Amino acid sequence: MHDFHVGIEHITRVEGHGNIIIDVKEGKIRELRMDIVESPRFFEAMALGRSYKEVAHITSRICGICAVTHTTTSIKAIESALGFEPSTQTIKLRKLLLNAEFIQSHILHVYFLTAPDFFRVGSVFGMVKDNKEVVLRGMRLKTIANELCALVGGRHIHPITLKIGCFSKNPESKDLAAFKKRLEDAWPDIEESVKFFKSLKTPEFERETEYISLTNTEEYALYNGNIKSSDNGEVEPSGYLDTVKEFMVTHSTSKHAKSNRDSYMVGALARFNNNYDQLHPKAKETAEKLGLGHPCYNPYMNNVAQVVETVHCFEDSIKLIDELISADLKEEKIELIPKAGHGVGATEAPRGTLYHEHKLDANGKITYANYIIPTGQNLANIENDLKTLVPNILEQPKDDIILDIEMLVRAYDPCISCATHLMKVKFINE
Amino acid sequence: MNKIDKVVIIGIGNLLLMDEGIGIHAINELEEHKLPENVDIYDGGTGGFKLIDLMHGAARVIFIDAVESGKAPGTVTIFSSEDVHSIYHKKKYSLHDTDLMEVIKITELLEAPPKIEIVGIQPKTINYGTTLSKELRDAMPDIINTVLNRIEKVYNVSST
Repeated sequence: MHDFHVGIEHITRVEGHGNIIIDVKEGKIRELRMDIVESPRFFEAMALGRSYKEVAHITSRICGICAVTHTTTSIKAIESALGFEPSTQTIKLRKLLLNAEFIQSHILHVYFLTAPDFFRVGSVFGMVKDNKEVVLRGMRLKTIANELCALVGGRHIHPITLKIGCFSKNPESKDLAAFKKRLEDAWPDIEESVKFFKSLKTPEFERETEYISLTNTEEYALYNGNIKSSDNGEVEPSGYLDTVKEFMVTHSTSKHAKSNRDSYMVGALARFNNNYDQLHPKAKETAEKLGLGHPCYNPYMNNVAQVVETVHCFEDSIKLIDELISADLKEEKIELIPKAGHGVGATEAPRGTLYHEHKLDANGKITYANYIIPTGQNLANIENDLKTLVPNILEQPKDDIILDIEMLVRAYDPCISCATHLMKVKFINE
Repeated sequence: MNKIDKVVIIGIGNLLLMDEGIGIHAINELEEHKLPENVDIYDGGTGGFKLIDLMHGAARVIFIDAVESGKAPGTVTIFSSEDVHSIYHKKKYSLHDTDLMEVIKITELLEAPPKIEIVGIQPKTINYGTTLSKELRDAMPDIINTVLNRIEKVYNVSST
């Protein structure tokens, strides 16, 4: 097929809207772009003038899927601005909560949003007839993660116990111990999941790019660490703008980002490539079982890296619960004194590195806010992947071309909720 | 309906988008009321599929959400789950239809799927902001009464 025109349009919710436009003439790409008509800039404007105590409540509402990460990152930026270091207990509880968010988000993505592509059934509902047990398994694993979120964060959605300084309410040790058993008892479902994803054939495609994530010699970096570029090494979070260079493009209201090259990748595969050594042994075994070699340059394998991270987060949660119980949870009460300051928070969200920067005046009012979300950072890289992929698949039937394109975009787990399951395709010349 | 059956009320929406967050504002208001023991209320935010986990063991679920019904701002409308399924295939209805309709559909996979209703409120202004439009602020008593009446009269349990 030498001529190919396609517009892939997302049915939108108010939070986001995205399209893919591809125009190929005589085998050459004339136009290829991915638009996301969604801007977090408005949320930044909403933070201005508010008290440092309020801002995490605002940012927790930016996204219901990544609410823990947004809240955590916001709090870290404020604590950094006020020169405060939380206790080991608080950091461990935050890590446990973050693990819960990673598990639920990754399970949602791999089971509900990408698995239907492999069966060509359009949505998870199409899988119910022939693969009901698979869907139920995904639901069971999601439920465990959401209940861990409720136990530590105070509720399933938009956690309320995460505060600046410490948790407003600790989980009970006996409840944590009971939850540890639930995590251990879920292992058969994890093993079945690995078997299931092993049975799915990921498209073959490779394009090496720059991979950026947090990194930490002590652990697989999700909660904190330096920012690592696979090209340029490490910088501290406060220097994030030296690594993340945002730029405007005419076709999207969302900024794109580059670093050493003209695009880079964030998310599970970037973390896997940058931090493989720190993965839990069971996660490494899972990678081997699933054929995810290190390093991996196939962006479709981001889904597989999410399965590997799910195993890591299960194991890390069990370890954190053991540590929290043995240290005997203590109630903390911390009231920070407002002062002028400037801080950056960087945390891994399921989809990639999230940055919040805040400046405070002497009364603790927000005078500057900058939030950089993972999906914006991935856009330029998705376009570059598509520019490499599309000329090589033009001989396939049109439906197969479109599926390969959609699967590639979905592999990045873009955080425009509707992008993942209600894409509609219409041909420009039809 | 048996008095011991669990009823779950979930407000959904985005608090940062003015009237879009009406479901959450309504839940905050309901928290001021003493509800029967078998009624649980939740701020569902923009939780998408996470909402499923709020419904385990519920016989009845009421969602409160901003709904584009073409009526005057603040108008309150009740849909049954059967209406929801028919709308699902026809047109975009709730402003969270991507999530809500799919969540409702997937509850069919639960061991005992709950009966689901939506209390929909016609929004006036969807824009960046944390306040409600005057029309929706004025509609709040109607929204709360609608939900409480539903609990008391149809579900045969009383609040105080």
